[in-house]
Amino acid sequence: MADCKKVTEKALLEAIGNTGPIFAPDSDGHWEKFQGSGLPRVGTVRPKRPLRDLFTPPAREIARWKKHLSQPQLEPNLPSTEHGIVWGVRPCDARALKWLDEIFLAPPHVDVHYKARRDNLLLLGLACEPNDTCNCGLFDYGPDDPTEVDLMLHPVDDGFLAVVGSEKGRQFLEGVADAADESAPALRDGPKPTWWTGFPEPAALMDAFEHKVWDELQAGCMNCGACTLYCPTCQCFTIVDEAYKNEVRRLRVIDTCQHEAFTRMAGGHNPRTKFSSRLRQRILHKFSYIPERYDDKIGCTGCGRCIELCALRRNVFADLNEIKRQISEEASCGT
Amino acid sequence: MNQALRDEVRKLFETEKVKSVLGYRQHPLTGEVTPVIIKSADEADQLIFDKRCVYNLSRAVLADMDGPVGVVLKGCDGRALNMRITENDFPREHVVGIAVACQGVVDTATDDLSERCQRCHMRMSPIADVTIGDESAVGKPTKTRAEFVDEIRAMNPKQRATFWKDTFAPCTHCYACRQACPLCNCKVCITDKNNPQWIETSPKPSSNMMWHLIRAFHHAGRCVDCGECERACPEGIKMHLLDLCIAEDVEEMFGFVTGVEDGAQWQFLLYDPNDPDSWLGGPERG
Repeated sequence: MADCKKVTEKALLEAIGNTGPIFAPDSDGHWEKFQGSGLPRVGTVRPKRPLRDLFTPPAREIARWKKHLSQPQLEPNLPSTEHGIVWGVRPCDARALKWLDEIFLAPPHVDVHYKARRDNLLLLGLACEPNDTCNCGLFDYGPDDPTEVDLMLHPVDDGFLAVVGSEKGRQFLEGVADAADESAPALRDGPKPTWWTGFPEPAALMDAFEHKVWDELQAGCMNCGACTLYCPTCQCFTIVDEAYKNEVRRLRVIDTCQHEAFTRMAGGHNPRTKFSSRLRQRILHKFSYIPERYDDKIGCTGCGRCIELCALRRNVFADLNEIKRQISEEASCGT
Repeated sequence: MNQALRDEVRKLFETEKVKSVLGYRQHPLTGEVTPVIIKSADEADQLIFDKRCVYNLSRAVLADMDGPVGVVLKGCDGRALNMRITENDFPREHVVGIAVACQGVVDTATDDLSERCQRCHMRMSPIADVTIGDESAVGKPTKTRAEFVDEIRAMNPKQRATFWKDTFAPCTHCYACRQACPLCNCKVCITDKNNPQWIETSPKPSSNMMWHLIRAFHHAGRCVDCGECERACPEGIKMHLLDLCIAEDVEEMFGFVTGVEDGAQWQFLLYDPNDPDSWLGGPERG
């Protein structure tokens, strides 16, 4: 079987209908179950919210129990067993899931909800038209990279060219009627900034923990947290109990290291009270701690949401360049 | 304008009137206009001021910075800084106001004059230790705040409740509006207090309303209409309209406009026997 087939929209829809409901970004860029008919119309580039929302939602109930009982009966929230299709997945978001697997699927603490979603949802990628905040080229992949999705679809005149990304995708494609073998379209290069000089060494970043550069960068950050809350690879959460009339619900809610309360401990001590220390945490976590601990992985896929949503027009890659420049200048002065 | 700004800043460093300056620069790599903090006269050449300088830099002044801190100020920024001084965030001597003649800034999405600037009646900062540019050229507002508020005032309470509920519905409780606001200066924000948990963490109609109403009430008589909350919101919620409604009420009832004079008092610390509210002994409001 070839790795690329041409499929018609009608046949694709039929095959999807046999699998389950479609999840896709809505017009506001939020991932929702698609209610319309036909295939969802999505934009040309990644939606506002990251794909992780479908796998580890911003707020998810863990359990609930009735109030005012001497022996509260815990009702856990069980993982969804629903099978379905995710439509309009971009390569940056799919790569981010690959990273989240390291967190949520690593034994012994496997997140059952996340695992169920991963097992039951088929990722149908859609070749992307990068905008000027996209940076997939920095990570050596492009806007139509099929490796982390199940199928990568390229829209053509009367249907799609479907490039196989995984065994699951191959099986799905076998179920699509009238699919004809085609030669796979050439992979495009992803965009990257012209001024890019490469990532700083993770160890060098760690050494720069006390560097003055963090204080210099702080003026351009107000710790609003949009960069992390909309990041496809960020996964920090907090656990809260919320009281309702007759019951209490325990929720797992998204959280961000950019807010002061994130590190505030019982008793009031807070190791990260400075703006610059929180900004540093974001950069070091993604570009130093993760590569050091997880075998040269990077906690970033270059999706560019943090650049697009930043109210202060900050660019994390420009920051990395600046940090790298300052570190290397000092290294050469020191010798 | 840029040259005059750079010359003045250099002078401030040379005469040791400032230890650092908060301003705007065009980022050498990305070309975007971003805030910058400079520490010496040599760095003054990167400073700029034009219609892309949308951010309110009074937010970035911290009490523990090496002072005095020079701050490039538009009208709204200066008013906010003024309120922060009034509220004892830091002493007046901690800042040196570099007031720039602002002709309004753009909405970064459309490149048109932003909504807040169309109704801005004070484009020069009240805190002006140094003034850059031609004060007479700043122009006049083309709209009034009332034009934005009247639509809400015309609604009956039920319609209003629905309007605000719908407005706040996309809120994800990221609190970017709080972080962007120069006057969200509580030591510990009410959202971060969890014993008791005043505002529940997960997004839903009740907690959305709770947060946005508290946020707006905390800004009664304080909001300077810089619109940063709305600009920072990743979901594009128009929460600033509520602040505008309250600002209109405060001006109408108490004749108070926030932060317009250097050294202005905070309205809520004043006692006035002619207060329009009857419970303070004043005449009943009609």
